[in-house]
Amino acid sequence: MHLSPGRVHLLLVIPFALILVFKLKLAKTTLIATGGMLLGSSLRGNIVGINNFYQDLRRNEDRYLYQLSTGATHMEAIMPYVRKNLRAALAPSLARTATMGVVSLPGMLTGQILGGSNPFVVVKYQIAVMITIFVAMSLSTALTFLLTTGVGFTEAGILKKSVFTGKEG
Amino acid sequence: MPVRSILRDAEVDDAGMCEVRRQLAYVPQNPDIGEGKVRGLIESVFDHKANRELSLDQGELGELLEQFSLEQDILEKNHQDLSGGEKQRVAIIIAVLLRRCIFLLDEFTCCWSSRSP
Repeated sequence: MHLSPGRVHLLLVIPFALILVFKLKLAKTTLIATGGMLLGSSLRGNIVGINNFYQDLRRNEDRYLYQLSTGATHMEAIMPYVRKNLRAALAPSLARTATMGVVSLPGMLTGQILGGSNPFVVVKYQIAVMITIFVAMSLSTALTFLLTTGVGFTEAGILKKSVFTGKEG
Repeated sequence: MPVRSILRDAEVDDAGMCEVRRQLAYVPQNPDIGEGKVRGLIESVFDHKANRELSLDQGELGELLEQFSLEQDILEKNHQDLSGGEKQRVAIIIAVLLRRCIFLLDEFTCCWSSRSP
C-alpha cells in the first residue's frame, strides 16, 4: 500500500466534502463558487506541505527513530514534523491574508474596482474570502498529514521507503 | 518482566515493537537527538506518554553531568553545538535516567578522548 497520487487526491477531497456538507443550506451557485475556490486554493498548501513533511522526515530519520526508541508513540514522534511543516506550508497564505485588501490587491479585485464596483464592498468580500481560504487550507493540510500517516508508516512507526519510490516493499 | 516474555516467545511483531521500545534504552553511535537546547531535549523525552511516571529528577541529572565530566551549563547550549563525545554522553545520561532494563549501546564510546570518563 503506497502513497499513490490517486490516494492523495482522495484524502484531499474528504475535508472539502465536509465543508461542502455544511454549506448545503446555501444557494447552489454560492456552493459551487466557494467550493471550487477552496478546493483550488488549498491544493498548493497541501502539495507543498505533504512533500516537505515526508522529505523532512526522511532527512532527519535518525532523529525520528531516536525519539521512537525513547518510548514515544508514533504520533508523539511525528508531531514536531507536523507542526514545523504545517507552519511552513501556511506561512505564505497567512502573509497574503494579513495584507489582503489593504496593501496587496489581486487582479480580480482591481478589475472589480476599475469596473465601477464600490471599493469598500469589494475589499470586504475579498478579506472574507481570504480568511475562508486560509481556514480551509489549514484544516485540509493538517488532515492530509494525519490521514497519510496511515499509509506512509509501518505499524512499528517506521517510514516506508515506498512513499518515495512508489514501489512496494 | 513483560519484555522477557515477549522476547522469549518471539512475539515481537510490528505492533508489539512499541511495547518493546518502552523496555529499552538506545544510545546511537552518532546521537542526533534533535534541535534546540539540551535541557529542552531531555525534558521532551520525559514528556512522552510512556515515560510520564518517571519524573525527571534535576538533582540526579546534575550528578550525572558531573560524573560524565560535563559542565552544568551544557543544558543551556544548543544540541547541534556539542561535540560528538558530548552528544554521546548526553544520550547515555538520558538512557540512565530512563531506568530501562535493556540497554542498546552502538559503539557509544567511539568519540570519547582518553580524558573522557
